[in-house]
Amino acid sequence: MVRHGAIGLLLALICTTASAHEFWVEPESFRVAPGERVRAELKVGQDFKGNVFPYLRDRFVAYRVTGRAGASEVSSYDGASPSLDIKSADAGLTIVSYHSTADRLIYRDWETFLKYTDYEGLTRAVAEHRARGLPERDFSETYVRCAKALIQVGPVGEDDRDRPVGMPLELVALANPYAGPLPGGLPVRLLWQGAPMADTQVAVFRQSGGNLNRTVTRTGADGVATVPLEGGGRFLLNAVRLDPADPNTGDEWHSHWASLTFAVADE
Amino acid sequence: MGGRCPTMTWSSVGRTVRSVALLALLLAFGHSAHAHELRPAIATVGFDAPGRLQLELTANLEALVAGIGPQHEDTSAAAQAPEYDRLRALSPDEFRAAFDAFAPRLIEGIDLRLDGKRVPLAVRAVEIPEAGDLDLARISTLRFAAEVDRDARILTWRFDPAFGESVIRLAKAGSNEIIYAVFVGAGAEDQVALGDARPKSAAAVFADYLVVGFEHIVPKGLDHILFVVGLFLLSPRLRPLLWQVSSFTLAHTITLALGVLGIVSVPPSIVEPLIAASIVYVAVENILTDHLQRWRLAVVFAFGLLHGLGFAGVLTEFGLTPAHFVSGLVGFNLGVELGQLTVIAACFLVVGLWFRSKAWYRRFVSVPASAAIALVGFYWFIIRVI
Repeated sequence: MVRHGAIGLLLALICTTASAHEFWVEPESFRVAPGERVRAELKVGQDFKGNVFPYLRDRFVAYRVTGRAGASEVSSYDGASPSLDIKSADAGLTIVSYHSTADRLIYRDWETFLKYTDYEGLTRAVAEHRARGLPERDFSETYVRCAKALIQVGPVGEDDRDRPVGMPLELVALANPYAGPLPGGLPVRLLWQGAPMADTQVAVFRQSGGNLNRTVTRTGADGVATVPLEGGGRFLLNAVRLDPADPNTGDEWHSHWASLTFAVADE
Repeated sequence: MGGRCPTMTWSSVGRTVRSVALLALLLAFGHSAHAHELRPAIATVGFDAPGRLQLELTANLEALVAGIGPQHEDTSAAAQAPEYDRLRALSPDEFRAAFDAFAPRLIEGIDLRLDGKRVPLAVRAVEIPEAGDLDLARISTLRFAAEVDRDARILTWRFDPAFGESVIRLAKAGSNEIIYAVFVGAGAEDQVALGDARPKSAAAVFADYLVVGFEHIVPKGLDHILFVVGLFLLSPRLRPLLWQVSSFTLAHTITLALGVLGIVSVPPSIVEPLIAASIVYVAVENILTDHLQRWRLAVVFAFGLLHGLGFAGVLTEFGLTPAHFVSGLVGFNLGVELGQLTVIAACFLVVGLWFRSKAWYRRFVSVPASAAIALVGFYWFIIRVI
């Protein structure tokens, strides 16, 4: 308790509030046998550590499970946790995708915006904000979450590849992380409205044996970033796209948050 | 901000009115950097007996106690933040004390009504997890109980707008199955008929299953009907019939109970063809003999065991809640019994009463009818095997 308090005090002094909240799909297991249940929670939090977000019909545009046989809507009841609990289909890579409705956040001060854009690699937005002559406090951003998880059911087949499932901002793994070692890392492509999105930060959270580390990488001209997989573990990738909001909405910014979760065995 | 970390507030621009009402109030607490997105409280109403209501509420209790609700969305979230953080760091016992002081206010804010009458809730249990990781919100579970009118039918739910959004759910009586769940915006009200959440008395369950059992014979159970008719056709006298029916009933009662309890389980692919075969057997024997052989009783008993397994399959599929296991089982078995007696009574009225003393009864009634039954039974046997 004392130690915890001391850390809290230290945090308070150096004032390092990370302003961003990742949102991701967290499967109970990343590999399941055919016929077993596939369960996943929606999580919201920081550093791959989050609170459960229950199934709430009003909060998503699409919540789907896509497998070899095609896509199906996740149906449950409001308040359900885990929000995904289905019997797995036959073997194949199962893609869970969640596209949220928009929510709004209000920036009470400029510093919060600076920290957020710095953390997410969106620093250009700061100059843009000034160039647009926007206020430096009490401005707002609406955000949409596009979370995705890859679960391997049964053995990996040749056609078991991640693919775009139609979310506005989407991370797509270009190799199956369950198919075998990827010594050169996992290439992922960031898509905005289906087209590659270049020069954008992808944060990589790796959780392994109780440790968490965060590294960042950026997409190239082809929208592809390479995720180092050394050490294995559970991975959460996160990328943010920040656009000027439609002036008619009264908001200043509009963002999309793409996340991708998967696991890699320690080689 | 006076040297504090920045504060921000989140709200919703969801498309529906209730989403707009407000969501995801994100609180970045200046002095400790814990930011927990708020989520709706989840309320589940169930009954463990007629007139005994249970309410389970899972929520971020610290946020409720600190008074962080939708009305603070824009300006005052920061004011409650230090208090929230202090509460969040408390051990379960310490936080329990803080909660107890707040409990009357919470109960006042849970406007739960049955048929318009406010339910007098009493806290029965408070389950507060260890403080654990302060980066995460703590979700505690409250259990309330109340004595209510056992005939009430309509539930109304309204959570104090200061407590924010909620989800109201109904659990089916005698199980944990959720049969209703609806998201309720801050300050909004929801009304629902209790339906299957409403527990039934043992007598009502007994009556329900009596009907299910009866209907399983008449009109749904043609195979069981033909078997019983086969027993009837052996001899027009009462004594052999009573022996056979008693033997059959005793046997199927045993396997029905064992089957429903899960002690004995035989797949329908085996039971169903054998039931068809049992029909062929009694019908063919009716043609070969006109009086009750001792071994026929043993065979009828064995077939009764089979039919009981078939009944168990039906009852299991229909569902029997643990709370009313005995009354349901006895009701079902008695219903089956009444169904069989109805078949025998019908046979007696149609043929037995008029023709049983005639010299030609056996030749022109018993034998041809048995032959027809044997053929039908044989046909069933074939299609059930294939």
